Amino acid sequence: MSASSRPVLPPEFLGTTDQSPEFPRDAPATATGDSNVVLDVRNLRTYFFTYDGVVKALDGVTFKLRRGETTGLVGETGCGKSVTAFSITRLIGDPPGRVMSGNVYYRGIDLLWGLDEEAKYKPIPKSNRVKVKRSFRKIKAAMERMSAVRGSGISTIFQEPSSAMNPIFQVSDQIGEALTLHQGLSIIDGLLAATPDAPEVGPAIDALIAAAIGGKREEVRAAAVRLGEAAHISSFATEAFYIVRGPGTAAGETRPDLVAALGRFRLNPLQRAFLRSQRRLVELRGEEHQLYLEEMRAGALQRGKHRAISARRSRERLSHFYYGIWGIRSRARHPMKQETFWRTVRLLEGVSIANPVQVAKGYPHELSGGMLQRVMIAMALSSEPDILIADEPTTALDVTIQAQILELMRDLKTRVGTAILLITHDLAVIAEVADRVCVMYAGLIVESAPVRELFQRPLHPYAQGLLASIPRLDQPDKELTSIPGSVPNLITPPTGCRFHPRCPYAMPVCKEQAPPTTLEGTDHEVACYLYKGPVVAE
Amino acid sequence: MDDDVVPLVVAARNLRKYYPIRGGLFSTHIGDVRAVDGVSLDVREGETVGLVGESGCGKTTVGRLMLRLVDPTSGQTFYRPPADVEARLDRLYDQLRPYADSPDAKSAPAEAQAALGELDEIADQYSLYRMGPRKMRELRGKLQIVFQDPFSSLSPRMIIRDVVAEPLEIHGVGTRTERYQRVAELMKAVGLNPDHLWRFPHEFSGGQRQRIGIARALALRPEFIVLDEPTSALDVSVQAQVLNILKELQSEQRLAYLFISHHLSVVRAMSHRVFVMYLGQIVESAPTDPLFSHPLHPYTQALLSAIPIPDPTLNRDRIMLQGDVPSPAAPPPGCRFHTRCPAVMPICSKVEPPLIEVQPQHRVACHLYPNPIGSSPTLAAESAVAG
Amino acid sequence: MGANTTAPVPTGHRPSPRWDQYKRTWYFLRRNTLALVGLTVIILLVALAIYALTIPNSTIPWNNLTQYCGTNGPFHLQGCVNVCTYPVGTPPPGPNCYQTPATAPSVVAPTLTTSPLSAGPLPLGSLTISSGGQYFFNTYQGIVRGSDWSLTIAFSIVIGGALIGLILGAVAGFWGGLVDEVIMRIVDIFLSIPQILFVIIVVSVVDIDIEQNAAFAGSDIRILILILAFMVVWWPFYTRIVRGQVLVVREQKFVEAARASGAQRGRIVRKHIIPNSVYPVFIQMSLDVGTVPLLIGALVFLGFRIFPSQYFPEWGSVSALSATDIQEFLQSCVSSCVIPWWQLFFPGFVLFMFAISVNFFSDGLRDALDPRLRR
Repeated sequence: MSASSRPVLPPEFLGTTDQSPEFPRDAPATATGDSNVVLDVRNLRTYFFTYDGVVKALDGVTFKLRRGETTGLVGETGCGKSVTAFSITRLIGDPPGRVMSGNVYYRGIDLLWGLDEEAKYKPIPKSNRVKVKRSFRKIKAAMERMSAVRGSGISTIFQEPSSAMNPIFQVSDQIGEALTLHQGLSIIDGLLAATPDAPEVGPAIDALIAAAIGGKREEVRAAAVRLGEAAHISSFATEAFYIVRGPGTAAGETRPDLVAALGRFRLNPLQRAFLRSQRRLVELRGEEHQLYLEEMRAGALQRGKHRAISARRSRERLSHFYYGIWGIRSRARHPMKQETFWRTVRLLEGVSIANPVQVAKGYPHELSGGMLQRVMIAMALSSEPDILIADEPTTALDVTIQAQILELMRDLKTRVGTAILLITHDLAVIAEVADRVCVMYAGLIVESAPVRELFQRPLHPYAQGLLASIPRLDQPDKELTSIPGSVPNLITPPTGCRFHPRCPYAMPVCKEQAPPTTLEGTDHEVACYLYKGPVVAE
Repeated sequence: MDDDVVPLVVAARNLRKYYPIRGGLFSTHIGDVRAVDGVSLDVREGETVGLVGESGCGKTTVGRLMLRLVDPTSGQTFYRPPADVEARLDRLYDQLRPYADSPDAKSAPAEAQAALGELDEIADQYSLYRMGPRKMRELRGKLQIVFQDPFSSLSPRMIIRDVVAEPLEIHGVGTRTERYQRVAELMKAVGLNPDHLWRFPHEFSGGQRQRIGIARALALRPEFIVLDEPTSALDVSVQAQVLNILKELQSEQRLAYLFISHHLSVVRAMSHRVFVMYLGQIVESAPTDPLFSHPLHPYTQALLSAIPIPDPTLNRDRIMLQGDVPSPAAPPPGCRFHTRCPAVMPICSKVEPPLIEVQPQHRVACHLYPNPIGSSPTLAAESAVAG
Repeated sequence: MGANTTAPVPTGHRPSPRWDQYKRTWYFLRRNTLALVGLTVIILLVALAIYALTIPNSTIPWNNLTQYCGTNGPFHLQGCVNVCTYPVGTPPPGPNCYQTPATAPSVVAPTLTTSPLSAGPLPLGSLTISSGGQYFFNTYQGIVRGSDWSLTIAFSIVIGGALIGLILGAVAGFWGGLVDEVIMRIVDIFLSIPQILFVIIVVSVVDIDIEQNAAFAGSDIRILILILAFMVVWWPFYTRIVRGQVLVVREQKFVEAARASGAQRGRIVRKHIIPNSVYPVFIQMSLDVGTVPLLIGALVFLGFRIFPSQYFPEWGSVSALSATDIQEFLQSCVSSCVIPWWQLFFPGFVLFMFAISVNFFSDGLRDALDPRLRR
């Protein structure tokens, strides 16, 4: 790749291009010194090239996500909020859509590098259509690069949980897959380092059984954790907890079960070899992801190194396969499966599922919508991502279940500290969960503010209209006003400000040019000619 | 609403709909999914009755039963019974209440038989389920439905003009040009541009499709419309438009609505009276304001507290319900809500609470409120006979 | 994805929505190269078939092939010297004629055979003539004339089967219950009959009947029986497809809305169910149109007399005949044999092109009609 393909970094960024190659998690998205910013989206532009013309779904979307903060992206159908989420991780179907331009800074690298080389555009005369000549090779390479970030750095949960899970695999298999992908190293190292026969284990088991007979849940939990520490394997804490509190045998008689369960950590040589081989594979994948990140940072492809990694990986895969085959009788895969199972159980506990063992053993179709959404959240959080994108997570659920899920999300916010991008059309949900709100209309962000300010002092006429049209339980006599007109056709959007045909305050200038985003107050941005604060962006 | 003056359009009594579950080697009947289990509703001219509940509680089925799109396992729906017949019905159902099961049971003592006989007579005359095909066809125009899903409620291969004209065509109203004129009128009435008559449904947005559905329902000048979650698939501002149109039409044409929804805030904005359903039964019913300001049944309270309010400054104490909704095939014994109820008592798992009026026009089915306010026939008649 | 809102309607213009839909489908078809190729080939072959309908049956005079003799003639005919005869006592009509005794047949069957070197100005190969039947042809003629027969048989089988399947499938799917069970069991019975075997048996039995009953001799009734036999075997597939689609459409809300407006069942089936269920039938029809001629060719190749004459012009028949012809040629040939591969290749090739073009086109059509793939 030539030097001309280097990403054009904003000037203030150049000062700190001296990034360490490990891309530390604390690396700010931009170099404006605000190390709280995890994701910096600038001027994102996504078009869809269809038979009817070019749908300008996003036409310059800019926002920031901060660590530990929940940002709501609110808008009606067709405003482009889901498209925004998918554009960030390049999940847009290409064809017919294309991320045209823009920058998405994450951990100091621009995720959208290389857009210009992937396609060329030629308008077809006498029609609205544009012919797009795509270089599928480059697009495929770009998607592969994104795999370094998806799941591990940026996780997504989708709207319909029942169709997001594979119905033929158990829940523990599916979450286990995600765990192996993202935390494989720590799992395998933990397994290899387990000491089931350490001298501290025996007394710890006795202590656990005593606590179980006593019956207090927190005590049992604490004793189980100590047992896990004694055996140097933390997932055993979960397993022991459920063994002693399991149905059937009384707590006092579970000793043989516990001892038997410890057996899974005594690995025979073939199992060890298998695990080491898997570890090497995971390491290789990690190396490849680092390579992708390096490519995106430097703006240059490194095909030679890729080939080297691929070569090593194919060799490693072959030997891994042989271990797997040889190891069928000695159950080479068993330790890993069990380990991921119990880690899954712990994850499910973390999302407040009451009976995690049954859920983990079960299949997606046995679970209700609310439960499935919790499982999805568990899966998304299993990799401890920096950013969680939640695309309408509660729209398909009943009100009482929605309340449970929103409670869970609030809880996770305080506990885990992930930055959440919550996409929804329901302003009430935003009011419950979000810290900051961005209101979208027809592919642009028209207002963004902290949540209280938006509800108390909505500035943009669209936001005002939206708030006025929501029926409220606590204001039953409020008249339901609606915004006249309908959402514009994004193939031929209105000129200037896209809201002007429906705006009660429209002025002549609104038709001519799109209003710049101005800053009103400390943190309240709006794109409307009614306001004359300092300009933040065009 | 002054019950004695406003005419009754539809009155449902003790509707039950069981779907048989077949299992085993020879598909034997091993149980029933009790979708609707003893629901009684009245809807009068010009009023909107809201029916709320979560998914799977049977409210959609109730709507369909009241239009005879589905035939009930037992129960009746009366169409426009005159005031005196209404009074007789109230008396008869009150008489039959002590006897378990629906009033169609055959094994009851003599006086009950007489009551049953009289009920039968009235049913023959006014019940929807006993009307012959020809009368039913006539009535179809008066009893209409607007569906939830604006995407599948219009045939994808028909242009809008044909879609809205279809009811007129079925009943042979007017000549073709007259029909198309009426279609244009209807489109204007719901706020759509008649120029768009020539388009296919998929070219319209959800809100517009829903309005087309309303136009179709209005074609034959209906008296009663079941609105099955009409705005659940729509955006907020579009929802406001559609709801305003519905209100306008109601005041213009004295329409009676059954507004089925799980969005309580919308129901509050639209309805005059509200019925709350859980697992096939009515657990509470009252006029709108009393229900929302003083909900009595624990389920209603939980439902109301679960709804997110678009005001971030409000700090609310949520009543969190544990667990999921039980399956309608195996409803819990006694009060169906007892497995999730925060105020559960020992009696709740044994005895089903009857729906009784504990405050004026406010009825609850809960052991927390065992004492009815009085037992005048008019009011007690609307209790569910079950239990 | 992009908002699906109505574009502004130009005033003064009455839109014809169905035409717009067709234009849109055509646009997507156009972009699919394989489908275009398929469509072109199909159009060419159909044009050929229409042309074939116009040409008269044969132009080669049986009894006097003298015009084809001679080194300057278009064909090299072996045994040309024996082409014409004249009985004793009459003057010879021309050169290369010989006298036959009174008891000898007046016309000697010409022993014209395939001559590998006589691929003369004829495109596509050599000349094969036989005196036995009413039809005779060469490979070229076989392809040209065969086109209208092949296509007619294929289309009538497919359309007939699809119609039966559509009606029965719609009835079964919509009425449900006992009617559905009965129809589906009948479908199962028919599906358990091995297709080709059934056609063979029917045709053979009818063949025997026809042989015995002179009134039918040689006429096209055989072809009719063939078509009917195939239809009998083919309709169950369509029934199944239609029934599956009807079961889905039946549950859609617009059907319920029609019922709520008082529509009766017949109207619902006619106006709502069937128009929304035909789409998979079209796809299957377009696929079957390619499969049928292949099957027929297979049957003829196996030696079953499904056509009135051995030399019936139909692609499969021509291919089969050429194959046996080559066999005989190989047996009789002694030295320096050039196998006339072209006379087997070209009819088979045309058949193959037809089948594969139909496949490409139906793939393209399905992609163009599929609303999800439509961007």
